[in-house]
Amino acid sequence: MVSLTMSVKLARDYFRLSIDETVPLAGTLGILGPSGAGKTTLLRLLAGLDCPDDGRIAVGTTTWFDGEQGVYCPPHKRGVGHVFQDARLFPHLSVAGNLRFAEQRRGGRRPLDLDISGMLGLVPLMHRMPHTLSGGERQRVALGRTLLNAPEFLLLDEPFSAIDGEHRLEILSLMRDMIAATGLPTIVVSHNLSELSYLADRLWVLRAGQMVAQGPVADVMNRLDLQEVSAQADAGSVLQATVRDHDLHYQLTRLVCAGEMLTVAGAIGSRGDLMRVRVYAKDVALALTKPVDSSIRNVLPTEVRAIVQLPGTPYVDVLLGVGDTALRARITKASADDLGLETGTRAYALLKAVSVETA
Amino acid sequence: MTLDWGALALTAQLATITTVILLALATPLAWWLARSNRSWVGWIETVVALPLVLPPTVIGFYLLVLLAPESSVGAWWYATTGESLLFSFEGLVLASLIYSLPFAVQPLQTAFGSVNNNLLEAATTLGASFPDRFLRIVLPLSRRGYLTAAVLTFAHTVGEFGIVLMIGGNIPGETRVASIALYESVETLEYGSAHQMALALLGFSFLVLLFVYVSNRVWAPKSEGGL
Repeated sequence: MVSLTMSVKLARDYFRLSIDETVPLAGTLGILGPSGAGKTTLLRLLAGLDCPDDGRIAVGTTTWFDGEQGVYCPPHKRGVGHVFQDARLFPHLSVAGNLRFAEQRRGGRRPLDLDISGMLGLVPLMHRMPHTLSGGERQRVALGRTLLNAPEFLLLDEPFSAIDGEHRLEILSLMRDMIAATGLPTIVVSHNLSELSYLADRLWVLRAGQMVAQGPVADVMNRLDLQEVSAQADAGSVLQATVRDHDLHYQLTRLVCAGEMLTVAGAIGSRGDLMRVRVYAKDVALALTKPVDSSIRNVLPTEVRAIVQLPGTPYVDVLLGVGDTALRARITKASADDLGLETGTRAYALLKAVSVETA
Repeated sequence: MTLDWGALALTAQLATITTVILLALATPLAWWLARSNRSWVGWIETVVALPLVLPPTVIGFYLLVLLAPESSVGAWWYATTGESLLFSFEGLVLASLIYSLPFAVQPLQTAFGSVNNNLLEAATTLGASFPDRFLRIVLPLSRRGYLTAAVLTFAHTVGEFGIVLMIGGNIPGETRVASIALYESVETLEYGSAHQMALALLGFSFLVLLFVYVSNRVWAPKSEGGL
């Protein structure tokens, strides 16, 4: 498997970036951090749009930058697909013109064996000029343009920030489907953990130009000690689940997750399918005894592993062990005290079926 | 007492040649001025802008000295072509290139400066080299700048009088351009010819400016999608 070496140092006014990592170039890597953490800079260094002060950037055996040996491969020779947060469509070209521009500059790379325009719904937009498109349409065209260029791998820089909430989820799942369909290794940057949890397999957390945490998405999301994770309003957990069966009468799907049964809304997947389940911490309630006569469909026996007060808020985040996996719950400090929660306390996690997202 | 078509044709020829050469020369210069942030760019900009404020007679005087067969430039030209640069069409072209330079450079510099660098970055990541980006992104997005530069250069070359008088003189078919022909008509009290020439130049100038302003409105930039 091809690996990506990213060993870079860069200093600007009030900003210092220092990363030294080698990762396999496969799957989707999410980079999380607040603005100013160096996420976008990191992507720009990879694309070749900026140069580090020193270090080495290499993909497999190809060196793109080497400060010591004076190697620098310009961006147009790297074959990296870069989708910017502000689409950057060429305003003087129609949608078709923008796509053709990318196709004509594919270099020697083989086109992806996919109907990209069709999958992204670009066919009805072909004759439109960029200024007549909505934010979501622009981002779809930008992604299509990048994919038609048949890049070796994809860099997505906050690709959803210019899209309003309603269309965000739509574009998000479209983008995830496209990444899956193309099989392209992808690096996606965002300040929004929820977006990354949709797309990424692994996460890097950047703080002021330094890596502060990395690992599989599910692990990083359950870290109570990372302000970048805890500060997110939609902090939560990602769990692996298997489809067990469907209740077609009530339109429900029963999953098995960490040995427990989990009911989610809608008839999803088919028996045996592996899927990712997302639960927001704020949607998880806790009870010391198993509730009766309640509308809550999912009651999971858990054990409190850790409790952390969120600074400056009335909340605590509680990490609950569920079998060999974990679930994050966000409740008020008052509730935690009333229940007398502490490490080792056995409690039931209550999840409404409607608040469990499958992805 | 007819319109001096020869002078008008010569004027058009001079202005066309000047415009074509200047657009080619001004393109790299304007690009560099628009994109460089070196501190001495201001010095170059000043030199480029000088013809805007200098009395034409100052440029005319220096050119007279420079192009004279005794000077190095003049001598080199004489040795190469066997002709004098002074009082020749070639000399007029050279003079026009100098005094119309700012009219070509400044609109292009403005146009290049307003091409969003983000678009060029996007083009780079799609595999476009610099010449490719310049031809396919910068040029089309700068078309209004080129139109303005071409029209202003052409019109300003047509309108120049002082320098032409000093280094070109009034040789029919060689250096007798429209403004000179008009001047001579007045000097020789041929007001009929003067009226015709003046009206021709007035009408030309009006139409040129009208074309620029109207087409600038038609070509007004659309909001650059996604920016």
